[in-house]
Amino acid sequence: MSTYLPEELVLNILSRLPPKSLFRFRCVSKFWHTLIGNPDFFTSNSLNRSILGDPDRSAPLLLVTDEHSIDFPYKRIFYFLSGETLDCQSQIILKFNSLYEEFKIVASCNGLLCLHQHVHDKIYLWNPATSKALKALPPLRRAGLKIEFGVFLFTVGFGFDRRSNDFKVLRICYIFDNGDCEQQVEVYRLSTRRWRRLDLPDPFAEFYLCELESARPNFLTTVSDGVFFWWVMPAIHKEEIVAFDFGDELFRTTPLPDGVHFSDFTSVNFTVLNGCVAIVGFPHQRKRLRRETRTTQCLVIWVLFEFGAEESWTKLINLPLLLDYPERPLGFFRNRELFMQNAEGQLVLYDLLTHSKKDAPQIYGKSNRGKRLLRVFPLHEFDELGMDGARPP
Amino acid sequence: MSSTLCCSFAKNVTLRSSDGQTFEVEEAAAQVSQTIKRMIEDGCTGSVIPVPNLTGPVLALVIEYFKKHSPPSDGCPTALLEMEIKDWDAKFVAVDNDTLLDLTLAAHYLEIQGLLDLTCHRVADILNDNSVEKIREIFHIKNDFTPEEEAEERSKIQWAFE
Repeated sequence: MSTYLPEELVLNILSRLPPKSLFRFRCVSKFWHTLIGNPDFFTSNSLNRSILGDPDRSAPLLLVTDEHSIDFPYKRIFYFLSGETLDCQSQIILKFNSLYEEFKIVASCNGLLCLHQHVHDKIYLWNPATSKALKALPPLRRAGLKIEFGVFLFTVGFGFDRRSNDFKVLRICYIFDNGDCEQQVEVYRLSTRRWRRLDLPDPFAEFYLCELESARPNFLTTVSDGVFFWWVMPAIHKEEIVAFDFGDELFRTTPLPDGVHFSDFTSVNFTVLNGCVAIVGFPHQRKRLRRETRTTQCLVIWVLFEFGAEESWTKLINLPLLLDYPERPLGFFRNRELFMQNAEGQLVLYDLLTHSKKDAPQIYGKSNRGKRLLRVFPLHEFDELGMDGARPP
Repeated sequence: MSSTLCCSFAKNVTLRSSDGQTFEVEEAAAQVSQTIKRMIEDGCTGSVIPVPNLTGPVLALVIEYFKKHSPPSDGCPTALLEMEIKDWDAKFVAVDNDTLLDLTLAAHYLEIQGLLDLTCHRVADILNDNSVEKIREIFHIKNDFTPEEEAEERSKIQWAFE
């Protein structure tokens, strides 16, 4: 009986579909092809709405900054921001007295942070909302390892596994000694507070992860619920995304889109957009305009809609931005906006659909030269779990 | 002043479908539809309210929805009641595709936001589970791509078909 649905109604229905279905339904008819549109941020079509997802989540945020300094001690500040107003609600300052104390923020998941102190190979799960002190996870078993003095390479991953309702940490370690190489891959479960060894079929597949982690302090990783991702840039192989799924405890890979390399970008971040792995950055400009500070740069967003399907990498059409060069993308906010750091070190929020930009100087002063904004994390509420292990005294 | 007095009675309105069937329904329940609410406010209550976009069977279903979703006479809806309504909603849209699309259109014409969300969500779920060919069948859409055009379009997004 129904042969005609008004355009408005079809759009209402289509915008509720995941991107994969929308791409498929562009083949339904020419009208639907037009309605669904292209992944193009100049227009607000149903595909954009589908890619960006629901706009109304506004979890509180954690902003992490380092005071840029060559000398120790230097400060790392954790600002807790309101998800609504971006006002700073409270802050925690950690001081590093030496390089040995410095840690990498592995990931933030459901309000819990995972930190890794590379030099001492100590891993911490930290709930910054309830505790200021850090307590390390139990050390790993070293059974069967005879090596005492060798070269140790580590990488750590972190995620929340919905299937077992548990936080999990992955640690990969390579030990080189007198030409011997030993690999240890272990998973920690917060509920049992135990490490368990994983036997991988291909023992050296994850070597590059450790090698890169050790060589590059701000090695690019991200997490989406129960899957942890590394952007791997080996010198000889094609760049790829390696994923570890905390549910089935398997590694999977997807190559980067053809012709895209880490070295193409002036500044880039590796993050998650509405559940999909995304690369967001400013590629080098071919022609450098005069030596002006304000210059137009193109923001490029690559989204991997289907992990494992290289062809599902989709480039969202370039957004030309008038920028205070250099600007750095930090991460997405409320699925509509992008946090960036501008030349003054300030936090800037850019709206992807309206293309408007607003400064957020109220967070910590008007000028922040010399400071480096590291990351912005959403701090979702804790689930009802036995979280005692994450709450150090 | 007189309108305030009237509200204390369970006042009925009559709705007439495109095929001439008439239905009597409580005015408060019919005002779940923004379109009907406006018509009542504009003074159409004295006579029959025409609903020309809906056939009798569809209007009968919409009235069922009105009754379930009319504001409760005694105070706030309880959590239990909300659960029950949610359950009822799920069953309400578990109908054949043509009826579902009719209800979607009805929600659109009569501006019933709750029913619009419910039906659009259900249609999206059905779409999500089906092939391109099946979608054309459900929506009665003619494929106006040439076989070559369609093959080219599909090859560009092979991953979405796997």
